[in-house]
Amino acid sequence: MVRAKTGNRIRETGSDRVINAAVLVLLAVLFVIWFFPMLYVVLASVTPYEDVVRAGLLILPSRPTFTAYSFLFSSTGIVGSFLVTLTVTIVGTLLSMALSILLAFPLSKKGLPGRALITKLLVFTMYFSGGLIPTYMMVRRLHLLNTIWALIIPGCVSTYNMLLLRSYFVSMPDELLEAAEVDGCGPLRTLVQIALPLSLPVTMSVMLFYMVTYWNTYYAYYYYCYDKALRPLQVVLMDLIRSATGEAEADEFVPTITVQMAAVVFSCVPIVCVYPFIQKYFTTGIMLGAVKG
Amino acid sequence: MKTRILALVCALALLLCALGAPALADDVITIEVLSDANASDDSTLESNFVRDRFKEKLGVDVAWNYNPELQTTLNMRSMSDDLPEIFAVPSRAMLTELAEDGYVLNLSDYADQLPDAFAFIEENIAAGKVGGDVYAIATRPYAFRAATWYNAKWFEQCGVTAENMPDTLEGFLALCRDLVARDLDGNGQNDTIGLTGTKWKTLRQLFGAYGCTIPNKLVCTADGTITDTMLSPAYYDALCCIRELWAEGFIDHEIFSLSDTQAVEKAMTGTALLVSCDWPSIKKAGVVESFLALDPDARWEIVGELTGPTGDRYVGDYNAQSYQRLYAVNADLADEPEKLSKVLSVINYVATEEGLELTSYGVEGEHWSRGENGAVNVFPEKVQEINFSWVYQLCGREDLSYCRMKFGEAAWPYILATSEQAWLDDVTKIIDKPSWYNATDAETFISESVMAFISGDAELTPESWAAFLEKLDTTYQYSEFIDYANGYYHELSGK
Amino acid sequence: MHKLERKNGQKRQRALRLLGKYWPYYLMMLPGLVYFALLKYAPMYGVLIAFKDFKIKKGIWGSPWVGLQNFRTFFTSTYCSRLIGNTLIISFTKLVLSSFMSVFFALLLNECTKRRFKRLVQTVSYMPHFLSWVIIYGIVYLFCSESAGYINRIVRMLTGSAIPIMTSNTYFRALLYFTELWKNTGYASIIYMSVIVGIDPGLYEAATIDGASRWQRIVHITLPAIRSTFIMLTIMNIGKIMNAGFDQIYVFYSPQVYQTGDIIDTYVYRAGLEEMRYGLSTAVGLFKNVIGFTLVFTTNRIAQKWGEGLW
Repeated sequence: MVRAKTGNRIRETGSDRVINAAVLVLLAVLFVIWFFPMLYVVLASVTPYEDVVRAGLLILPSRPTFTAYSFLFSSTGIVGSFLVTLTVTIVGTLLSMALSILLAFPLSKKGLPGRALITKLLVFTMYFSGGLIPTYMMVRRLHLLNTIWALIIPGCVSTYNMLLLRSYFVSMPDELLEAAEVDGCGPLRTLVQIALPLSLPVTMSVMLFYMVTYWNTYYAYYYYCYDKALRPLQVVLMDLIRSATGEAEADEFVPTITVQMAAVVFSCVPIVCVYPFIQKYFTTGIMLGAVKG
Repeated sequence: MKTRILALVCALALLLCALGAPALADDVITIEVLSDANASDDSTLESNFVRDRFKEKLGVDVAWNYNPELQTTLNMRSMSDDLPEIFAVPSRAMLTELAEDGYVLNLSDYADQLPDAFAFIEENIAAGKVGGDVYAIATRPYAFRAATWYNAKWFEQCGVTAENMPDTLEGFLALCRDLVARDLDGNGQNDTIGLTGTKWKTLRQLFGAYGCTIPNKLVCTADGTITDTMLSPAYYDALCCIRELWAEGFIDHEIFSLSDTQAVEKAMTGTALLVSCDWPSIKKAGVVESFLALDPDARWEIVGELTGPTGDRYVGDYNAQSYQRLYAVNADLADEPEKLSKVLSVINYVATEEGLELTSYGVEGEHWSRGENGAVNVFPEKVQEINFSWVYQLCGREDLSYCRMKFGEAAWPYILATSEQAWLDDVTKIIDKPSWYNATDAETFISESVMAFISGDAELTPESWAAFLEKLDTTYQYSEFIDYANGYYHELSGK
Repeated sequence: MHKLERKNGQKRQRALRLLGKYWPYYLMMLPGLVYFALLKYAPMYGVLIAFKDFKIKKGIWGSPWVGLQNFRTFFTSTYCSRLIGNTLIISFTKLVLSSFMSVFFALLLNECTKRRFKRLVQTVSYMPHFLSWVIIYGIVYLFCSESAGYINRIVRMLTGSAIPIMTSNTYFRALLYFTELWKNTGYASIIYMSVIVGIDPGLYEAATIDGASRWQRIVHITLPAIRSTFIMLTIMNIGKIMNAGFDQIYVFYSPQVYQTGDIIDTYVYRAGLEEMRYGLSTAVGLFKNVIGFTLVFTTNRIAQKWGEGLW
């Protein structure tokens, strides 16, 4: 194999080309399968109702209309709920990430006494829980009822996510961390200055997972709060859709499907926009030179 | 700002309830109502005149707490002794448990404070009774709303009008089959469906013409016996008829996959000739408007009663003796007679004529004026403003006149017509299931088996039907359950 | 005697030394452990509800013990074996298929040379995750509806009759699997992507220089890199095998497909509507979780033999 003189590009072989082509074809097929229904959702949210019903899946946006969106925004509390969810997501994610990382790092140390026991205890909680009522009573005892913390704390740390972080820390080469120790870093500094920066792909992924969970907060509100000002976004959206399709008392009728689609788009857009920013941490070669250097 | 005060007051009220301290200042007390009826946020309303009136007249500030997760929330709050003053209970089963455990107040003891309320719900007061005493206000059920609708435009194209519409099931079905074959939507394909709808409700009029209704429903017959119409001899014939219709594609095969809106959409787009649904799904102003865009000269009319081979003409089943909602009162209030009397006054007030008018039409003079012979005339421009008040109808309402006001004269003929159709008395919701009866198993078995008979997955012969009934008896103890239901019903209603 | 004392002394010394070395780590874990203690372990006495005839007012301590009554109700149901069977089959198949698909997709992405296209596909791939099952159902209906669905329009042209995809026992599970994969493959592959991205590209270069083919590079570099994560996720997902996807099945099912599609959770849901059997759903939940955790334990044991495992 000859190395090209420009950089590290390695010349492709014939079979490589075939595989590349196959990969592209498969990905293109997958792209179509995923993209078009999503396109449908977006288009359905800006198309008049009768066109949506008539057109089935293949909507042509010939006369775009924003009735569905204006219906959403006309609902009171939508802006407030957006802020609530935003706050819950940001604060919650930070808290969850902090707690998860602080659990994952020590548990990745093979010599830690009680490591197996603690891990077993944490995994146990993934499958067994006391249930809603005792959890409710605990939340009440902690005076968190009807506060924004009730939307954050009960589901704060996910063992699943924590284990994902731990598995990354475990896979980090020991020499790296030992080198840090030799240089006089305490565990916390090692974690923050060495381990975390290197673990960005995994950390960012877990952060995304937490963000999505917090963004979808719904039930927690109805279990622990009643102040209308604390309603998260999904609650307001669901109420809206329910009221538009509910009993005969409903004020107006706005065609369900366009409103549902608008609600989906509205609640998805922020999260979907965040991903590309996270993607930039998914750069190959992050470990490059870490050990040698 | 208002919300924050509200939150503070609510929190304070809850705290005080928990501590069992006496109520706040003797003037206006605050109570919380927990319900799955969705009230608009006060900040969006011009004025919450219902709440204002309660404050002025009764000295009670009613804070409405909407929560769709009623069952869970009640579990949680009752366990922590944190129940609101008034709360909706999602089912009788839960009401019974709450009553047995002492969480809800025995309202019969306070009948003297609730004369109007009890009188208003007299017809179905038993639905809120546990062991002979009233433990919850069973709000008055809405008027009968079910109907089968036909595409009047198409029928008239073929020369059939309301006058010469056949009124027997046989004649009507023959006519429909004929129309279906004619490809009236003109798309060149023989794909028109006869009847569509959502779930079992689609078939209710077909069953009704045989004097029956959909399976697994307890029906109260004219002489007061409780039975399930599956056990009547005509049921087999009804199933044969339905099975035939299913096999030829007359009945939409997807009725279990559709929502109400989708079913009506199918009808509107010309995919189906008939649709079975309640009048709000098809005649509310907003619905009509949106469907006019689909088909500008569409006209949908009620089929009306159809007499079947047995001479019966039911259009569906109706919860005449049941309830729309159950509202219960926190038992802890028994220790606070003053506060309790105020709470009860709210419930009683909404059942008085004044209260009914308030929660249905608004404030006299502001939202409506009294016409001759006492009729209420709502100002058309105010209809929007009074939209929210229905949630406060803790005892129910005069459904027909309320709906007429709210949904307008355009919908009124249909509202009236549907309510006047013949129906079967469905008492399923008020019969509590005994612990030895596995209702879920029975329901699963019945749904699956009957569906298989209808769709052709299972052979329908007198023998196979008898075998089904037999198994229902032996494995699922269904007739034992019916006997039990009879006994239970007679005790409950005192009839 | 001296030996014993010395041993104890040595033990104590060792313990102190360990403590000295590891105390910062314990301190780090403290907030997280407090969370678990307060919000996961303290409420666990709620599990007792399963064994009691739950009477709300008396609370959990006051409710009389009814032993295994709640369990009996479920296990004597005529549908018990069918429910468990459906749950396990659907769950296991979903597990196998989605494990395979998410790894496969991650590999595909990794092997893609066009960076912009790869990013595009990746972004689009994780969007379906955000659609609720109700919406996905609506879209599926447009395709699979017997009367007007696109698939059936084609089928009808070819064969003259339609396939009742959504309402027939023959196709229902396949529909579940396909939609599940459609919704979650992208999202599930994120974690594999994040691991793959951490692989030293020098390894690939070295392998290519040594004459390794594309396929060999995948098998000997990429796959081993995700091995730990894969095993760990599989263990955790096996623990969830008794949850076959209630949200999805509830939206899609109907009495016509009870036979293949009715799972434990949908049955318990209907039971909850019929009566207020709070104890039943807890009892069944407990049963599911015991099975789940036992499976986790067992598979973890097996994994340990390969040097992997959760603990």
